[in-house]
Amino acid sequence: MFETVPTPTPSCPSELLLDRWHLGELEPSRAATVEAHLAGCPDCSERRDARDAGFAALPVDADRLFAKIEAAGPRRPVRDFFDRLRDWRIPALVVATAAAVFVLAPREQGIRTKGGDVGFRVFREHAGQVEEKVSGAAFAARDRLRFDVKASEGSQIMILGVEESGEVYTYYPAGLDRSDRVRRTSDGALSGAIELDDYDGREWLHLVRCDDAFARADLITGPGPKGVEAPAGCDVRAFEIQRQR
Amino acid sequence: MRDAFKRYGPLVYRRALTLLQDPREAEDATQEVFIRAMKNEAQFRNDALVSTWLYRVTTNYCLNLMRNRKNRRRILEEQVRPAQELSTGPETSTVVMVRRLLARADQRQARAAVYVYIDGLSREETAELLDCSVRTVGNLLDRFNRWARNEIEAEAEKPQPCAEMQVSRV
Repeated sequence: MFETVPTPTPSCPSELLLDRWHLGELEPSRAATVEAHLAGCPDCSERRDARDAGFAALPVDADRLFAKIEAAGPRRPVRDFFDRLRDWRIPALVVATAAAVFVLAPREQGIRTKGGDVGFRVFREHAGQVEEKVSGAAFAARDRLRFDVKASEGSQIMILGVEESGEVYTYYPAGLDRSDRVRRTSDGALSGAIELDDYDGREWLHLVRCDDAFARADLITGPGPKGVEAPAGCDVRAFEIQRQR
Repeated sequence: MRDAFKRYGPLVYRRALTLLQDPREAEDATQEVFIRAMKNEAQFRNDALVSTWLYRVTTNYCLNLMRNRKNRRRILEEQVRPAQELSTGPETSTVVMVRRLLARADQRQARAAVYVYIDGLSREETAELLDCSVRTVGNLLDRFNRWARNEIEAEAEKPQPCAEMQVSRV
């Protein structure tokens, strides 16, 4: 139903083929074919010149972009948990923490408070009914979700959805790449709602709370309940949803 | 990593710009892809064809972004924008239509469609990028075409809503 769209003529090398040629990744016979074509095709000669020029031919400040990449790059990996357990002080700390959590932890459903004063609740609107859901609950396509976040005054937050494939969506602030403060509507929930599409599988919602504003690029994301790593000093709360078509 | 960025960065940026049609989003995509490359440095360095790895990762990232609700809304807005703001060339309208469909399509079918219909790759090249057989690529494209045909026919049968109504559905 569709024809190939962009290349000037069917014999022109694709973008990938031209990139491979430019990077010297093609075997000699294939490279020779591309070079023969370039010699007789003005359009592709322009494409080659653009590659030769590198970032100079593109509307982007490469130095600034690389500085951003370095700044947002992976942090030093933390020492393996079991290595740390070998330290004699850690088992004692684990026992003390477990006891404190047992005594002090709130029992509210849907809120995961692992230490900080941060709460994350998820509500579903389905067939006109609104109900609070617990982590691990099933959700259907076209369900609408709203969130209630408990966080200290002035907190900056972001809510991400991470599917099993590692795909990430920003649910709050909707579709933006930067955090926002907690903005509520008159019913107390966060402003805005999301409508689920027909993805079928598990997804983890992650609330990230920091004292200062942060960018989506400051977070390292992956699937799983501990799939989001935030800058030091920030809190992360996870909520699993089982999505069905 | 700076050398790798200088060598491969333009490829990634150009690829993202082709798919996203937005310099700012292309820059963000380039940043994200290189952060992933730094996280998977061993794989990045050891891959026989680094360009293939980057091409694949950039494509997946951009398709994910297109599926993002904000971008779905923006892609829908492309359709409802007044006609005089759009280039009237058939190629542009076709690309806009394909991009709108890609934002809603099954992920794997969408990837195959991007490589073949947007990038003009052969089915053999597409099979290599998708790590599957050429026959599977054909099946994915057949399924995408059937689905897209139904989508287009269903849209054509709907009464044309006003712009505000159309963008409200995410």
